[in-house]
Amino acid sequence: MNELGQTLKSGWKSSGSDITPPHIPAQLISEAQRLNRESKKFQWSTLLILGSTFLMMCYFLLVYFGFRETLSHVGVGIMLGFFLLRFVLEAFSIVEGGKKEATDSAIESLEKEKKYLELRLRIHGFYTFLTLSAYTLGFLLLLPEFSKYISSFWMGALVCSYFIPGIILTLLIRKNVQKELRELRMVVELKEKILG
Amino acid sequence: MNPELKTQFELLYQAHYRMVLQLCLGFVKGDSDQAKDLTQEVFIQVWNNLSKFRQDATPKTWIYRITVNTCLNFLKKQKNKDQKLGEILRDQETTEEINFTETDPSKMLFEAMAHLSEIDRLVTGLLLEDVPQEEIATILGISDGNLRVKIHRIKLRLKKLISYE
Repeated sequence: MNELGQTLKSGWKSSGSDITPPHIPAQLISEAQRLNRESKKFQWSTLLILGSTFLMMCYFLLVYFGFRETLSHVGVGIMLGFFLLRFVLEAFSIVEGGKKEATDSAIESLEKEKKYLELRLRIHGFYTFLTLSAYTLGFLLLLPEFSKYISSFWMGALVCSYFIPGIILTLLIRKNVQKELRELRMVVELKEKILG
Repeated sequence: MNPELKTQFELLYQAHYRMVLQLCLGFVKGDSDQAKDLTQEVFIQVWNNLSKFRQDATPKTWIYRITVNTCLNFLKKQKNKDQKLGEILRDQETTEEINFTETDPSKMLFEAMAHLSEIDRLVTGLLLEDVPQEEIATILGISDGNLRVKIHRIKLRLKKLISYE
């Protein structure tokens, strides 16, 4: 074993003997700052998109259409309420994601990532489908009042314009959920590998 | 940009570059380009976390932690592209014997390390850097006993892998 230890040590020393740091800290710092800015920009842009969509929905559903029937008011309430829930969950997820530190121990870091991915899975899985279903229910509750003002042809177009993007969105969410599930499995396996 | 922080970063960079690159080299089985990219990623993390650095750990231990986490993140990204991590880790743990007749000791070392799993390669690198075992346990977040078992297994494995004929 000693002979082995010596061989490995001499290999390690020899591989490190000609390493000299390249003089690039200034470039590295600007790259680090750029990545940091981009990561924050990405997080804020998600919230910004969700936030402005919510405001647009508020304008159309509360001001532009001016619904008069109780059923429609219930529908608007459900749609806006669940969209707001999705917005709050996304903000919560961003806060949770920021808790992972590069200086945590490996196990601690993997544990935080596991919790974060579990949260993302809940948000992208259960809560997103709950939001979509509630949103669809809200939309269906608006249809009786819409039907009083527009023709059957435009009613059909309205329903199609809701369900076709809805199906595409559901498929995209499903893909995202599968990706996060794969990442979660990987984190769990890696954790087991360190502990094992 | 805070000039004090910049000076501190430059000192850390100069003092620990070799150590980080070597750990990364061991981790990526001696692939120099990949190790340099990984080292750059480590120092990006060092810069981004420097303002949060408290003196409760030595800068060396602090950088070791960042290096280990960066290597694990790299592993996740790589494996996500290909296949399930477990399958790859199992594939790498071969028992094929290496004949130690190579004249370049560092090449021999990386060849031997390549036959270990990624986690074991990180542990081996830290051991060869003379990091005390209790510090390695803290960096990984496992108990001393757990680490001792792991080191024992690594030694047995290397002994099995390497022949001096």
